[in-house]
Amino acid sequence: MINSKDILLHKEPNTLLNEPSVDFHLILNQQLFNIPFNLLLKNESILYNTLESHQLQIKSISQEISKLLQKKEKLPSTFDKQVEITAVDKITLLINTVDSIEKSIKSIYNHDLQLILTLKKRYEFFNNLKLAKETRKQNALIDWYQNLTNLLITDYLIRNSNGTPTSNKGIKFFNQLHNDPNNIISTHLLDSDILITSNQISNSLLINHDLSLLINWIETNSHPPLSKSFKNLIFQSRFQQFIELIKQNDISNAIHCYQIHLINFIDDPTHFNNVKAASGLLIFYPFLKSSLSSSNDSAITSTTYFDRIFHKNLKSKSLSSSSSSSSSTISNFHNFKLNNNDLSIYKHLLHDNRWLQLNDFFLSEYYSIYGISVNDPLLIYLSLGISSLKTKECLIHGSTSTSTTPSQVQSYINDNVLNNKCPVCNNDFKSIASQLPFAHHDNSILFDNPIMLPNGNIFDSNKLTQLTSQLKRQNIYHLNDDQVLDPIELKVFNKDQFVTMYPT
Amino acid sequence: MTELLESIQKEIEGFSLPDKPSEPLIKQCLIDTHDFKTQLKKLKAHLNKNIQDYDKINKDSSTSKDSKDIQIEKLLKKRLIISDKLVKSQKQWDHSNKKNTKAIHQQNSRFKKNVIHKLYSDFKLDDISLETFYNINTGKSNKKSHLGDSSIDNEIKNIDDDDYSNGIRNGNIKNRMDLIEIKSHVNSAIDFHISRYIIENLPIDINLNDTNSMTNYLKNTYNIDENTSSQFFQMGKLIHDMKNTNFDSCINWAKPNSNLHFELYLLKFLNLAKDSNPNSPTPIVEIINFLQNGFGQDSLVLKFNQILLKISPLLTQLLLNENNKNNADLVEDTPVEENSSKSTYINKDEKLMKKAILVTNNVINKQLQKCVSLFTKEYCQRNKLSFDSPLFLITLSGIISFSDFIRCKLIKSVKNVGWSTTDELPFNVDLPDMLSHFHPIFICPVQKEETTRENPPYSLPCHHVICKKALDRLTKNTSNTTFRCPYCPATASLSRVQKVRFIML
Ligand SMILES: [Zn+2]
Ligand SMILES: [Zn+2]
Repeated sequence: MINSKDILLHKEPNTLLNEPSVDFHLILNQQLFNIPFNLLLKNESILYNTLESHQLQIKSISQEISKLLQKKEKLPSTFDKQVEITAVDKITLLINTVDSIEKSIKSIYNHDLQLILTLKKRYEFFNNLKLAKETRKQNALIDWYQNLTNLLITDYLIRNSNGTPTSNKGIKFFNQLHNDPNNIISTHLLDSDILITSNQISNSLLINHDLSLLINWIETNSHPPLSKSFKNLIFQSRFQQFIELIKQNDISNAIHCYQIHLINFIDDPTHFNNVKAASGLLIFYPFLKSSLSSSNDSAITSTTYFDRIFHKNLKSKSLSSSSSSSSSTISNFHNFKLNNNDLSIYKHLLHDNRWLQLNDFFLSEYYSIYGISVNDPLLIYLSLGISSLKTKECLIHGSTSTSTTPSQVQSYINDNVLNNKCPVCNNDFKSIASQLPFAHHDNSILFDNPIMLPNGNIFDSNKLTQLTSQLKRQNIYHLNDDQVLDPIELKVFNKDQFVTMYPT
Repeated sequence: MTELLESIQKEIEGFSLPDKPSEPLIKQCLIDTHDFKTQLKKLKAHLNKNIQDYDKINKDSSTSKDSKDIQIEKLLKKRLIISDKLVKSQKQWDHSNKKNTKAIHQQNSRFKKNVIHKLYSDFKLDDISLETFYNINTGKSNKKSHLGDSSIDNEIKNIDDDDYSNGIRNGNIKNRMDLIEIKSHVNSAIDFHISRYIIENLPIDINLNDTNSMTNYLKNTYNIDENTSSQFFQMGKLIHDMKNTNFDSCINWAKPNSNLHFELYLLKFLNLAKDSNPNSPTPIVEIINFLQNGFGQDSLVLKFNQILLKISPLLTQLLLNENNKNNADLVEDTPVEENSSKSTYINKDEKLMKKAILVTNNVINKQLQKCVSLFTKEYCQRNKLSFDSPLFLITLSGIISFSDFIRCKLIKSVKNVGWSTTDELPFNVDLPDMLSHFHPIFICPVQKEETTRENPPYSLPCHHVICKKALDRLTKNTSNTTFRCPYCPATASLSRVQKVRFIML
């Protein structure tokens, strides 16, 4: 039995990169197994329904035929071949029915085959991690993480694409990386269809302000009993449909939408006010139209970083219940009462922000149905990664010597010695990193054999000697055998000036 | 820890028929339904036979009525048999359907219980949320954990009652802009990453000698800016050359005497020595000619030992093989691993040597990989590019640190630990060497905090190092300027204290 505390609280000992255990990785990638499994469940119910819907019919036809054949004919002379002829007709019908059932089963079978293969490939992917860990091959382990990173990038690119599915950068990247233009590897490790569908719906909401894809998705996926959040999604999308119709001055369709869809929510206390607001909108819209302007967006109350990690759930709960929270539109929205004469409240209903909100409702519902992370996993890992890498020296170290025509030795040193390869200091991550906290270190991370030069610079003695011999060998700088060059100040020192340090 | 992995393996196996590991459980259903259909067809044939037989009996005027009656009697009996068989196979099909769907259902339930529930029971990616780290409100709620199909699987759904309202609490345009800005930086890092890793796998119709062709391809396919992609063009071309056994471009690129230079030289030699075409192998003279001239006199002397170790034995074997050309039938295509081929050429057993193929594709591929990797490192170094893309390094750090974040969150929810700083993570993340030596980190042993520009390290005369804050505290109450080192009995005076700087080379 798996004890969750084991996974969480004890890091595996003796790992190559101090990396998490295989099971930890499995949990982080839970959707890789959940999604194909859900499709298997769906197949189970299709199979069940296929058989169920025909079983009785087949039974009754069989019994009819059987009764027909069992009819007692007293004498051979009364034998009537019409019995056989009728039975043949009926049995032909039976065969056709069974044949169509067989075809349905065959197609479920083919789908199952695919899904199980997918599950097997995904298992193998993690088993490769296990093997790399067990055989302690660092290269294999790094390769595995490269693959995982590429999966995360692909996932991110699919989620954030503005284009059509065929032009999706993520899929192109992933397939090309594996020299496989035919989309085989990606289906085994990526549920690209699912991400593409949500991306298409999301884009149609945000870019085109078009509800049709969303409503279509809702209709094909609303299997009762509906969850509260799904009902809310239905309400919000119909409400938006209603608002758009009002905006287009299509009053009759707006009324139709109200009567068909919104009215269903009149008994729901969570939507009652909104339904009332909707009918109000029918009346007030002409007055509002003239005074429409984009509302001021208030900045979110700044909470400290750790408040946000550790009190997050608490905060979000209190946010919806407390009326004192003044930070976001939602509190205004929910405190709305029809008897409040302030027409500006209606502006929130007409504001384009509602599309963003609707999109968020949709995505959170969509992702939770499939058990996928709502936030882009790549961004989560990047933010954690930056923080765990960010040192106090990051972001300020940046520029080395800025002399316009650096000497040969200066440029050699800039290129080979002081070339800062820290990924956090990298141009692309600098500004993100500036918003994130520093890593915490219990112990110094320095180098072997620290020695101090008279100017106070402390180096690894071997590395400094190596640098000196490189400079000499490549005829970049002339130095005597007992001399070294301080690459920071470009000053020459004697080796007997080295002072051994004891920094810890 | 691989308990979960093991149960996944076990439960995936359970999706297949026990006696046919490549067939899903539903196969039995297909077989049984097909059998039922076959049975029905047989019965239909029997019925048709009955009709035919009856017609034959009637037509046949030669048989007596009694004999006809006996035959018709048989037909009547056959009717009953057909009827019985029909009912029986229908019942059988019914029964097997129940059995088969039950088996499928049971396996699905097992998978749900032993895999899905366990995958979703402890924590998930969203537990450490984006808003937490970027100080922004993305408006996405993170509390739900839906499992399984929403219609089938209500019992494990765990929806917070307040969730419906959480989704709407975003709408703050300013925060959205932050996210858009973050994403634009991430996209640019992704472009670098794609350029770095895709360049070796460009489609064959891209002309690698034509930078425009490459620029356009990366621009059109991935919308990557030329400034980013062009950094890797030369790298892509030289790797492509190497893979197409044109080693000279890379040999010319490599610094003479460098390790890369030698490995390329070895690669070219291996390739010459490989008997890829037994009918016209590279003449030994040509190989020796390359060995003498292809490398430069200086390098030959410098790499004397390595040549002796890696090239001479192969050359010896090559010469021996040449000698045995007449006994061609003795030479068999036995693939030899790199390691064993090494031992083979040292082996004095001539028979074994003849049997071993000189240079296998495997050996060449390994050498090629070695050269590509050395070259890539060298190329990135020379062009001030990171060998591993920064995006990869950060992601890897993020994955490694994830368990620390989760653990911290868990501990925090159990005990109410207060954290002093908000600007620094409250825990230590142990990153491996490859991720922790970008900057020197000095933790002052007195203050237990990292030194910074504002609080720099100082060396005491005894060469112990402490930070400025610690130094200030030590000297605050002393009227004279001498004080005791906190780590050794030495006394120090402020005038002999020196500000220092750690520099990672
Ligand atoms: Zn840095
Ligand atoms: Zn001391």
